[in-house]
Amino acid sequence: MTGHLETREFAALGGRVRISIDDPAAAWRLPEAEEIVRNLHSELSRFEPDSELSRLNANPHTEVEVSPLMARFVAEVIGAARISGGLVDATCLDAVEKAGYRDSKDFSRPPPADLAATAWPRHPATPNGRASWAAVEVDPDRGLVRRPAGLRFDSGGLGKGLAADLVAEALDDVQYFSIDCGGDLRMGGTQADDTVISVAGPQRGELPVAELILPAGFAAATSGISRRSWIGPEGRPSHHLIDPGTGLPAFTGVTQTTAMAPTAVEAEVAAKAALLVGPDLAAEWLEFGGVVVLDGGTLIEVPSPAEASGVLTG
Amino acid sequence: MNSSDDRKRLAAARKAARIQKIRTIRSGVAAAGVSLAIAFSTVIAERTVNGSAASASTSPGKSNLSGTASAGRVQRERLTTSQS
Repeated sequence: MTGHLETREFAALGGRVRISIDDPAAAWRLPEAEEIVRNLHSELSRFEPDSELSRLNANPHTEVEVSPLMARFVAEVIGAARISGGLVDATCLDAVEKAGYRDSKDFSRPPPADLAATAWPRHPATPNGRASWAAVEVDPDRGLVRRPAGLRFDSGGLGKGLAADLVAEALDDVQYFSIDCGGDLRMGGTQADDTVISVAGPQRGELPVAELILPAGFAAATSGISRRSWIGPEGRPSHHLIDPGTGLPAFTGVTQTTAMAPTAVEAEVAAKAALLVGPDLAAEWLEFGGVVVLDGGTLIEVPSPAEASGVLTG
Repeated sequence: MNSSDDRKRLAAARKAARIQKIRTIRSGVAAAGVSLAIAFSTVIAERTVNGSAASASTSPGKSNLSGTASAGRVQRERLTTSQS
């Protein structure tokens, strides 16, 4: 540890982004890292009409030429759906918009309703029977994406995770770096150590509810239904995590999940899948450790394999 | 104290912290209305509150942290994951 932590913090990806480097010989690379995030924001935001994502979503052709960044993003979309059996489905943009999230929203204010008390029945989410994501193809060498006409992508959490991973790939030779993309964390470097991280509570302003030991080089992501929430078109509490099977906001009995994983995209997928499968199976998605918060406030901590091993061997 | 002693002391402190922090809880989770198919290598832990095993819950303005995870660690910075 050099003790020369240099940090950049800025608004992007619908929240705050913070990048830190602890390496006197590499602090000059902070602007380069910031540019990676800003470029991803401008090209993958569905709220920017001129972004590449908006242009792709509006393109009526089934085969579209794309940039390397978009090819990577679409590959992550396909991977997320495959890994999760279709639960983490970034092709559900129509349903997200139908639920009331068509335009960028200000989520800095308190949520309008107590989602945990909503009368909607709780049940595990299921994949969409049509599995539209399975018809998506990407050819990164030729820079081509093929998908059924009209199928649109939502960058959402996968975009934040991808931003963190791209910065990590660019900075992997510095002594220490960290990036916080609106709550998605990635930490690493040639001299990085395991680090204690806090898990913020489900409600804005709430104190942290847990601590986890993030292995060096790993990522952590938190998914939940209590912060990006609003009153939907029918006057009911609504949020942005869609049950692909119903096309409606998912109420599974889980309010928030945190997952650790080798990459931020993997952590995003694990956290979302854990929330969507509901309380009974959530822990099974937290292969590298994490935290589950149930609707009633019960907190379940799943230690990382290293911690679990320590417990078992005493 | 030599480095070997340091390692032993650290290992003992970690073990003590784990014992305090973690209670393996198939029964506890079931009591919370959760039936989990737990993989052999996965241990579900319930946070210990105020030194006694208890069903942890979250509430605005109240922290459930026992502080044991950060014991003995030097942190470069404070990192917090939150809903994105």
